[in-house]
Amino acid sequence: MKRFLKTLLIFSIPILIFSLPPLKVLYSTGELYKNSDAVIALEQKYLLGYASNDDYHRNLKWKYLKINPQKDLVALGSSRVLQFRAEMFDSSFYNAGYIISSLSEYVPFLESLPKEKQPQYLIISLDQWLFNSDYDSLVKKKEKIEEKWTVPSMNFYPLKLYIRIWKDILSKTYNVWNIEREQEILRYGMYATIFDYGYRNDGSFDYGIEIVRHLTNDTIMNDYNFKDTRRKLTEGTEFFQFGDKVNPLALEELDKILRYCKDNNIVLIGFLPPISDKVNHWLSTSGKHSYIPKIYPEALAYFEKYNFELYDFTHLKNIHSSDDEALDGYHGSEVAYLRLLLKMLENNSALNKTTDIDRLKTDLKNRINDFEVYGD
Amino acid sequence: MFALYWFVFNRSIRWQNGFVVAASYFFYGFWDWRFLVLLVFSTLVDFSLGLLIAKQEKQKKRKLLLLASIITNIGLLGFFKYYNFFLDNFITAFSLFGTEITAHSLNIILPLGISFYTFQTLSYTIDIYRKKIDPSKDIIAFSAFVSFFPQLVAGPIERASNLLPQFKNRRTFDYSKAVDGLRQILWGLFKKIVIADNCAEYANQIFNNSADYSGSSLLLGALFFAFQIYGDFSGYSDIAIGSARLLGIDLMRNFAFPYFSRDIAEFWRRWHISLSTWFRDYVYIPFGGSQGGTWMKIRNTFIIFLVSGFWHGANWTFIVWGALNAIFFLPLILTNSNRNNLDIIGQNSNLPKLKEVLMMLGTFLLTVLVWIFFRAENLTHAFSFLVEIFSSSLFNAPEVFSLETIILIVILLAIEWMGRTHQHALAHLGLTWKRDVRFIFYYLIVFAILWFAGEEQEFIYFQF
Repeated sequence: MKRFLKTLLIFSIPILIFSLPPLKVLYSTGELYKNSDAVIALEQKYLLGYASNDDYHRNLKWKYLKINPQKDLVALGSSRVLQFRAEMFDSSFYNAGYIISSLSEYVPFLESLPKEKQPQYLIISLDQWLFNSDYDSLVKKKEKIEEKWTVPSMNFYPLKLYIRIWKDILSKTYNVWNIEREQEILRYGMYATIFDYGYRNDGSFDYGIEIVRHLTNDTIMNDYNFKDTRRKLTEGTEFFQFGDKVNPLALEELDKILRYCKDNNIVLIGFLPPISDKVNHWLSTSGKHSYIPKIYPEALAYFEKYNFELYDFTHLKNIHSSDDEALDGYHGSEVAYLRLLLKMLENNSALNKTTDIDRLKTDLKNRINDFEVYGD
Repeated sequence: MFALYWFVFNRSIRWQNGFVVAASYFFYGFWDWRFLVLLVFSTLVDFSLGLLIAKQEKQKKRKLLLLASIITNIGLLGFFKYYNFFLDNFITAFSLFGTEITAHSLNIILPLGISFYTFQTLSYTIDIYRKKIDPSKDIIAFSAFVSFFPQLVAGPIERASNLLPQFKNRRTFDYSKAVDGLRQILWGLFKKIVIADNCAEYANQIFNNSADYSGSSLLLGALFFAFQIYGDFSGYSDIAIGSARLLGIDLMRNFAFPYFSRDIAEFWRRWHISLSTWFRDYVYIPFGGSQGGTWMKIRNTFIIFLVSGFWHGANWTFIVWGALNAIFFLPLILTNSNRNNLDIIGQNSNLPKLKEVLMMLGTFLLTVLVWIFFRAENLTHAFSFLVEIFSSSLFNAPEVFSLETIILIVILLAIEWMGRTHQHALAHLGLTWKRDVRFIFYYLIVFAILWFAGEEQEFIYFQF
């Protein structure tokens, strides 16, 4: 037995030494804390950003809407609605962004909420590629759609983070022994604690370190000079699959969303989210994504049929913004989204009942920088 | 667990067994404590019936007592696993004759490991009935045999003749056994975390959205599933066997490098060995085995494969999976060549001969195609999957491809090939490699587990 324990100890020492710093980081950043019920119940400001699970927020946000009193206004869609903040509205607001990845998911999401918890106003992003059959064929999938948010994603894989944490340690990105989670804002997860990167109480997303990188023109930022987006659109991959016509099935799905909202007295406001000017230029010159300019006129007919609003913000210039206010090739910043909201309000949007345009104009004027209006 | 077992509870065998039972019940109850009642019930029933069968001299009464054990165990399994299946199929069958029946399916949760421990306790009472073993008079040792935590939920399905005596005799710590146990655990973790979990990502994507993909992607999906299920199940078995060895217990071998088989008969001698031999001993042989000529052999082969398919789950896909395996067996039975490949492939050489390579590939491809039925949601899904594979789209470039996962599979096969003459892939290292080199190799495996860990997936066989 002694010999065995000695061998085991000798073998384990390097593994323990190797594991100790990552375990310290995982523990002290709250990466291993998974109690979404407790997070939802928090009164205190929090930021939730796990590095080992990119799906955890779906169930958390759905549960939030299900448990809490009805919100007047909800933003629902992909990551391209995450920049709407509660501060932009006077009515109660929740951002259910980054839950939806297909037009066929909007209605099941709304149906999965109790009727009395459905919002009065619903803002939805209609990501351009959702109308491309090569991106989303809209063929019925085998798995139950609603399980994407009704079933908690417990697919944490912290083992993979070990190597990543070691890379961070070696590049002196942070000090392992000096990580503080209990700050003014309570943080859950490595991204939230170390990189200020995660979901706020209102469901909106704080891009934290990415904004710092933009402000300092740090080349390690995601999509520096939109190079990554350019690669995608050149290769025709990851959202930028080629296409020349609007998928008729997508328009059918859109009709279902509009009809559902009409039948349930939900005021729907749709918009085509912004793409950076440079990327728009590449898209139009490549000629391989000619379905994009066709979306607005075809979708508008459906919105008009149900008397709902639709806005085309594909081009940043339409909202008096520019690439200076873009987080990457297809995500505008909080500032761009405030401009986008102002544009809606100026067009006599129904949203005028939920906010004050003059206050928002002042907010825009007093913004922190080109990316942030309201801060943490 | 290890420390308490060897340092605190090592004073007497009863203490050690009691600790194993407590730990096993805690482990099982941690999943759902309510089903502990079933485990305890099954243990008590078979313990009592075992004693009664052994005591009884009249054959008729012995038979009745055995029947009581079979009915209790199969009854439990049948209710929890097959109730809804039979109900749905009866309703469908009657509706074909124009009779509408309304009945409500029950919302039944399948108790973890029930298919494994009921078979294990059944083998105990049957062996007593056959007078192959004596009944246990020690309830603690018997409970440890039924509930032994490393193999409770997904096997290997142990025989009383192998495991029970080990709980009756004093265990002494064996250095070589424990070290080899650790090696086997390490290899099991690699197979599960690196191979199975990575393959699962692609297999799930392709099987869940099969209508979106071309034949080449579907074939790749079936291939990924073949390695997912192998890595997942044999990985679990390695972890279970290795953990048991740390406690001084030898469990039976469950996998013997099945993808190196040269024909389907050899594959079934190497895949899920504890279940195959269970069916051989308690179904195939009682039905006459291979004693009554070719037709009886064929009939019995079909019986065990259909029952084996049904054992896996209440779905027609498993039954067809079993039937197809039986069909692949037919040519071997008819040509009396089902026991041709009893040796280990390439035993005296480093590389296989061309003929052996072709035989291995052929057998592997057959198993890959049959796995489609095992993985598919239903028969329609399986057939449409197969139709697309055998269409012209098989020659399209696959939409889903992962070079990294394929390289990992090749590494797995290479390491398993080197260790194929031993109990598990790393067993030979302790005999042939120097300690420093061995340690470097182990660290590389640990590093691979950390670097290539796939997204966490539940063990497939937990659902059976």
